[in-house]
Amino acid sequence: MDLPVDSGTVYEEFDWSVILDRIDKLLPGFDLRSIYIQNEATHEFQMVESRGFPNTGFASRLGFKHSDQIKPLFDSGVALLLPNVSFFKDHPFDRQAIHLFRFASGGNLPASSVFFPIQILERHFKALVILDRFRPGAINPEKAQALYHELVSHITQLLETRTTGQVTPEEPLKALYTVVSSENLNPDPSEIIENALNQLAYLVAFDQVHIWQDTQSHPLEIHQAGVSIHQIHFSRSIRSFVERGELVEDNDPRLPKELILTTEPSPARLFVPLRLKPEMTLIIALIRNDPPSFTGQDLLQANLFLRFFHASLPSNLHEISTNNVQEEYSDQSKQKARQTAIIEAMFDGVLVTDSVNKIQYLNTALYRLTSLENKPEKHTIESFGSQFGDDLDQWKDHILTWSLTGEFADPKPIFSDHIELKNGRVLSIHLSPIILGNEFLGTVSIFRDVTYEFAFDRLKTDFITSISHELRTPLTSISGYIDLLLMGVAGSLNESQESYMRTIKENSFRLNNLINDLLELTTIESGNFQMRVLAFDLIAVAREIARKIETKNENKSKKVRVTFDHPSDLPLVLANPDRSRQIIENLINNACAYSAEDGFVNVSIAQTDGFLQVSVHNQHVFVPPEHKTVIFDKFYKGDDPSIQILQGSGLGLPIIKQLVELQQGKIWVSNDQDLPGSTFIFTLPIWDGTESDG
Amino acid sequence: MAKILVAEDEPDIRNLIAFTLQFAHHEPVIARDGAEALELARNESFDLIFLDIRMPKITGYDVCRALKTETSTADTPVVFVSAKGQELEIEEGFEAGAAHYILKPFEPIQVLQCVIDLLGESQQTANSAAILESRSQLDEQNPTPQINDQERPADERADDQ
Repeated sequence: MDLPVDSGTVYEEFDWSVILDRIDKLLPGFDLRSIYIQNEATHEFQMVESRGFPNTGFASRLGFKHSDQIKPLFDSGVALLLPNVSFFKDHPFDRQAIHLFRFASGGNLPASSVFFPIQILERHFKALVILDRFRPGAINPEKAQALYHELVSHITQLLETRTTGQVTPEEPLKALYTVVSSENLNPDPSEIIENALNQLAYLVAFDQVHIWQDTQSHPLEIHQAGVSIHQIHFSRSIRSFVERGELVEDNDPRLPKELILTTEPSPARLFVPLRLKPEMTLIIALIRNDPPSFTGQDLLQANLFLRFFHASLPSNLHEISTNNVQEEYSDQSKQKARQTAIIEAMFDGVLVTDSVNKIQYLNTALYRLTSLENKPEKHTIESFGSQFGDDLDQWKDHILTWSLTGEFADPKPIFSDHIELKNGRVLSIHLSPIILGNEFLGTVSIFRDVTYEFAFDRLKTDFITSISHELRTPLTSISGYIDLLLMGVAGSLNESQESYMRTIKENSFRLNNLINDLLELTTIESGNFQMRVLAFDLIAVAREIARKIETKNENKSKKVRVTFDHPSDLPLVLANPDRSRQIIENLINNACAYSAEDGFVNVSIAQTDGFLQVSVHNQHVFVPPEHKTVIFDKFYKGDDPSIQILQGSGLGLPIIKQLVELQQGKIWVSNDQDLPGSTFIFTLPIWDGTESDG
Repeated sequence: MAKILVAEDEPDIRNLIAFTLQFAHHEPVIARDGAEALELARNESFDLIFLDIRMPKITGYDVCRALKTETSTADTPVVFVSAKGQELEIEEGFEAGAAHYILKPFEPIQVLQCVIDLLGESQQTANSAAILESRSQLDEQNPTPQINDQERPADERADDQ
């Protein structure tokens, strides 16, 4: 907030109504009373205060445009008394001003007037006080002259006070402002009041003070101090002021803005309303016994104080007053109670650690799921984890890593694992860090009971495994005895017999493949599938497979060639050689199967960031974009019937997808717009040179 | 000609192996369960033993382990015949002392090839040679669809090689 400074507009800050009060007291009976002040920049006289104009809006717009016309008045240095005026002749208003004047005064024009030209040369200050009556009549020259002198001295004093800083309000107000501002964090209304009184005492001399607090029913006196205390009762006007929370104007003469000055003789009282917040007003009554009156300057100072006090009140005072702090506190409690209820109502176990890896919270569900015996509050992550053997070691390590290294930032990591407890339950664990900005606040772990899911999954795996085994025995007999027949063990076969036998054999073969794939996929998906990885030359493996396939193809009508495209010095990959061979063989075989006769399959191998990328391109089969993902689904069948004939079990691609991903690689299909056909691409990690367990 | 013990509880599979060996002029001896196999192996001398893994009374693994501890049978090569195809189970078979592994379903020719691999070319009879020959001719005329071959697990293919 800016404190007021002296400027061209400073006069508007003055409470000119004090002057009009004196006029009304000393020279009563005038219908219109107005004060005009010359604007230093434009030399126009602008009305700053008026009384008696029914239309105050227009009254404030009245002004002298031509200051030259009233120059003689100022030059004379005396009050101009006009007991009977001919308005057009004697008033220095222009036509526009007269029009406005007539409007503002309710159609009346003055019949008698008094002009007080007030000029303070050293301040370049010119003011004109004009009193008008709608009827002509005599004006007491002594009284007028006395008033004129008082007005000059009063205004001079006002200007002195305002600009010389003899009784400058800035310093104490600054101090008050500082106090009030500093109370922002911990506002104490009583301290604010005390400061307010100190400042008032500095600005306005008084003998006693009474303070009331505005309440709904009646004002409550909360403080009184001073000598020879008079009992002060709220008058009706004060009460209505309290009730309306604004100015009261039922006293005559009119009360100045924002201040209530009683006109009772002794003692003099000054009422200063302090609005701490909309619903809370304090009324400070200043009492002065000697002299038993407050001067205009007192009012001015009190008024200035008031404005500053209100302006400097913390805007959020009502939000952080004592009561509200309590409410806020209770809101926090409610919020916390709500959160606790939510966490406690969860079926999943919840564990929260803080930034130093102590267990901060552990809900009842986790207590129940893990059959813990110790009081949960006493656990550290070590003591908690140790109850599950080494099953939670990884979980523990993750928390420690996050808290020590700050490797929780971006992307937000989530650790997942599952543990089998002694009580027979299987729990899945999801661990994630709690981060505020860049600060590690701890972790939250969700433990979900997946015992039944696990049991079902195991049942599925067991079922498929055993059914596959059971199917293999009869299948062995079928294909084996067909082989015996084809060998001629039971005598030679004619051409048709042999042909039919081959059809049966091919289909038993196909059934066998389906069983094998189903078994393999089930094993991989069960999570019990383990692969040893070691560093090896992927290119050598790929070339070897290509050679083998080409050799096979040589005897066929469809002679598909395999071409290679790769830099000569590619690093080794860290993967399982057998499984990698399986992946490449599957892709090249598929590509060959989907190629035209005498076509070729191109295998290109390149190094990407940390991976070798193998692209197997066939020229014939286009994979529609909408099939790019589902082609890796189990039992995917394309739309093209000619391709379906070549389909195997429908599990080949799902298996190699799993195999690629188990080796930390990726696999996808790409269609190059410029090339016919499609490209199957997969990646395997490059060996970083460290010892592998292979 | 070799004397070969075939232990398999499934009669059809047992006979399939036996017929094949017989056709190749070998001498198969049949056992219907693990206990019978162990007894026969202890009393008679065999050039080769085919053992099913899942057999009543004594499993193939246990039969094999027992044979490997006895000096009279320790050197007789054992071939497991089983539908169990997972890496770990094959490993267990080899740890028990198996020389080879045949997965169901198998082709009779694999049985004959196995005999030649383990007992040497001398064991290749006129008939088995003819069978192997005819088989390769058949392959040329009507090759196995390659898509089938590539769908087979690596372990099984490893056995082919």
